[in-house]
Amino acid sequence: MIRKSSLALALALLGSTAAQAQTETAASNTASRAFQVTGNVPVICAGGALSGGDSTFALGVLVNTTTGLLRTDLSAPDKVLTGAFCSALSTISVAATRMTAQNVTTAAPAGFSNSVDFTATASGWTTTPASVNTAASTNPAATQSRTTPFSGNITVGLSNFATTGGTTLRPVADTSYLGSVTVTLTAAN
Amino acid sequence: MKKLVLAALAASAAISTPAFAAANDTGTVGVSGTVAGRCLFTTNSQTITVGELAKSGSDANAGKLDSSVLVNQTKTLVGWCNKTASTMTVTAKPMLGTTAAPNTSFDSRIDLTASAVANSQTATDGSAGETVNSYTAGSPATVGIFSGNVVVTLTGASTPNNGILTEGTYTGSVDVTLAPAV
Amino acid sequence: MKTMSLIVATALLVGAAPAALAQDSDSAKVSVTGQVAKLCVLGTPSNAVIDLGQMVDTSGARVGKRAAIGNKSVTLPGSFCNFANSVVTVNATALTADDATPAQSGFARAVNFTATASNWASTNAVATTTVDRQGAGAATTGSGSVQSLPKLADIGLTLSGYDVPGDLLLVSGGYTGSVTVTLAPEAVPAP
Repeated sequence: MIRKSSLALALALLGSTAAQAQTETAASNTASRAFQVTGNVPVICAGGALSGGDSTFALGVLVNTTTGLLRTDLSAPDKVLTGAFCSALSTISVAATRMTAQNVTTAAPAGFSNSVDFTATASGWTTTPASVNTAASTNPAATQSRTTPFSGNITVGLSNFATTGGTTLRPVADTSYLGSVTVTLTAAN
Repeated sequence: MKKLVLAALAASAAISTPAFAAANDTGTVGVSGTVAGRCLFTTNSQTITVGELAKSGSDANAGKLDSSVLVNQTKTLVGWCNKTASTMTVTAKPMLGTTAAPNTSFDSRIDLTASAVANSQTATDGSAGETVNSYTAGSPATVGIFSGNVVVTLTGASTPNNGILTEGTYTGSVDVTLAPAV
Repeated sequence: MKTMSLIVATALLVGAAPAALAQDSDSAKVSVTGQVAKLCVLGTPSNAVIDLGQMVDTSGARVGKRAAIGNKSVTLPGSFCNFANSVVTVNATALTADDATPAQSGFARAVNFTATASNWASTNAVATTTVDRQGAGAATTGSGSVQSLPKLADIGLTLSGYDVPGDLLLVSGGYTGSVTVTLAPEAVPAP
């Protein structure tokens, strides 16, 4: 003799947060209950770890000691941020401050400059690398976006060194010119 | 002269008579007998068949006895008694299930209380607390001389542990005895 | 003169008036029959949703990767089967990201786990999901041993052993999986 009995049979729906429905089953000798299992992963960006030495681009002597002008072959090895990731779509932006003489604080006399501009580029994250030039009034390329999560290396490189104010100016003597590059990863919720 | 001797044997109920009738002789023969007290069921078997005995659903009472399917179930026997001191007794025997109860969370026994009414007299009995196969009858009711229906009704149903009934078939009975004397 | 003797014998109808013997009583039986169908009931749990919460570390060496998620347990109180030879079965579907977009290289969008239903028979029902990083793979089912007696018990359900395929970074967002617990008669193999 079949008896109708009310048994809770809740249906779990993938990708849905709907309330569980209760349905009756015809066979009283079987009972089922379904549980939805949920979890969440917050949006996280991590800048990764800097590889290839310390966090300083050491350019060494900036001037040609014969001409006193900025060397035309300034370079430093790229820095790599390994294991950078964002678990959601994101933007990468690069900001930089020009290299400025640290010890000579007075205005540079005529014919001289106390800062060096450069371009910093962060590549590997987006199709078009983010780049910023410290001499430019606007840097539209400084922020780049990607529409998917990403995990990978960000390579930061410096280029396009130029004496602030003009290539014919000579940098004042200083044992320490200091600038900075900042790479920021921002996730969009 | 012939002499006739008649020997009559009293071996049967018939009165022996001489081979020839005597002239104008009268005898008296008394007839007496007894009737023993007796009761008899002319309809001595009935069956109350109910369906599902346990409550449906999934709440705290699911699977337990639904006594409402048994209470007030009734069947009618037919019998008679010919003696004024005739009595009627009822023996309720519990419904025993085919799957044993493994612990006190379950039951495989349904105790019954029942009544039988004959000649407007009621006898009752309940099976609760009685040992299986050592059931005792209830108090007798004096039904006296009657002929007619003996209406048997289930008046109650319970389980020893108030537990979940085990699956299976349950069978019990209400036995009614008519006796012509106390 | 003739004389006759007439002997008239009187026969008595002798009827016995015995005491009321047992065979002059009579008994009748009203049988009462019914049945109880096989019934299993799973108790109402306190929670129909098992929430693992935040599943990744937000700092440290494992930032963005599966955190040490603890075991989660739910009870189905007062569950029972009223018949012999029942079996509890657990069916598990891995958590996958509510966002159906395939995961980028280096990422996973699924979390596998083990579901265990306990306190019914000598061997628990266990199911471990095994989907890949994209969440591809079937639900898994495991059955416990046969319970040979009718039983009333609080069945426990525990989730443990969380694992991200490849131990990759998890894409952000909500994740959903499911577990179903079933009580039923032992499945008898077809002859």
